[in-house]
Amino acid sequence: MKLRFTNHWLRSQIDKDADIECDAGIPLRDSTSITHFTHPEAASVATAPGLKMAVLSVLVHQLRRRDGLSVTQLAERLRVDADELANVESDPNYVPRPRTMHQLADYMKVSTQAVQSLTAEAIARNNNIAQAALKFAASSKDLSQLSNAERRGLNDFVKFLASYEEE
Amino acid sequence: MKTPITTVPLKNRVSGQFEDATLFQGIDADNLAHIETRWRPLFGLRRFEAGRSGENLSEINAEDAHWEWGKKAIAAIRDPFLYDIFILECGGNTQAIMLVRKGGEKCFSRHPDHPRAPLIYVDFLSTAPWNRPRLVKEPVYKGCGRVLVATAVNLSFEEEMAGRIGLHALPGAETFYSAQLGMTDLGKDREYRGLRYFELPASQATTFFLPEPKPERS
Repeated sequence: MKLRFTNHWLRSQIDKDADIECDAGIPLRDSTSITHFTHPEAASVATAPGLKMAVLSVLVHQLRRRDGLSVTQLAERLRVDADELANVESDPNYVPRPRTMHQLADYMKVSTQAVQSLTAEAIARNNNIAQAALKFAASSKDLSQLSNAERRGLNDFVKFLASYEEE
Repeated sequence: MKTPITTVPLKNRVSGQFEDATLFQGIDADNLAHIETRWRPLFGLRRFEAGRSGENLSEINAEDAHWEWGKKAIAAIRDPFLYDIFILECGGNTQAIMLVRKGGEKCFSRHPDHPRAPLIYVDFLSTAPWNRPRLVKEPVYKGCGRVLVATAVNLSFEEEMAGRIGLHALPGAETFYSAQLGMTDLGKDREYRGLRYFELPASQATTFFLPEPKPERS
């Protein structure tokens, strides 16, 4: 594409422009509606389970079930806001506060870094985490008590998180 | 397929310095991943904070209901060849995205200067949440809109549409298109959720890339 503008022109215009919003048309909130503008492989990478799955949500939910705690009870043990914990569990895209991640890490006796590695962005970057998280999330069924297989899955995943720093 | 077009400047509001950004035609998995893992959580976080503090979601353009309408509209696009998508990347991040139409029902001018003349229609121009003054307290990059609109005007000339472009501005961005870019405000579009429709007519496009654009003709 032959350009009719120069960087000098852009700099002068950007400097003169008021500091205001410039968004137009359909608001873009996620990638699902534009994946078909990419190569099919690109779309499959972006929508892979590793990016979408609610690993932290599932983990918190599983911990509560393992220990027989309500959201409020676990929040009290962690000394975090119950609303915050409810958001972590219900919204896969929720970004917990650093303190919440720290308290969760303490509760599971793993490093804070390991819990941080379960955010969607970190999973997208780390294939090892993605694979372990995918296996863990896929093994979870939403029953009132953990089955033996789920308990094993949870324990294995916590062990994996405990060894996260060594990788 | 994503192809770099050129290097363009974006102003880092924090440092006050211009930084080199890359303008691409096309989109790839990295951009999709950025939107999914960097843009989307921030929108969610901001919506949560706004809900707690009693802010109006529509005022910060963070409504989900508003988005569902558009999401379906883009997903329904059947002919990607009528479209071009442009990406701005800076600092290893996707800073803004623009999707334009080169043909179809929306690509006819409503301007009294040249009714029904073909134009480039901007389906969306979206900046990363951290660049939006109404969404975050300390927005980072300034200039994404200027670069992408200039690209749309440029494309319009390339496609022999005399630089004409049209778009619907989101609330809070109307001033950018009227006062800053000199586009003509053709009023609220009842068939487009009441958003105001703007056009850059051919007469304005001829001077668009000059240092001092002429004021809009009354």
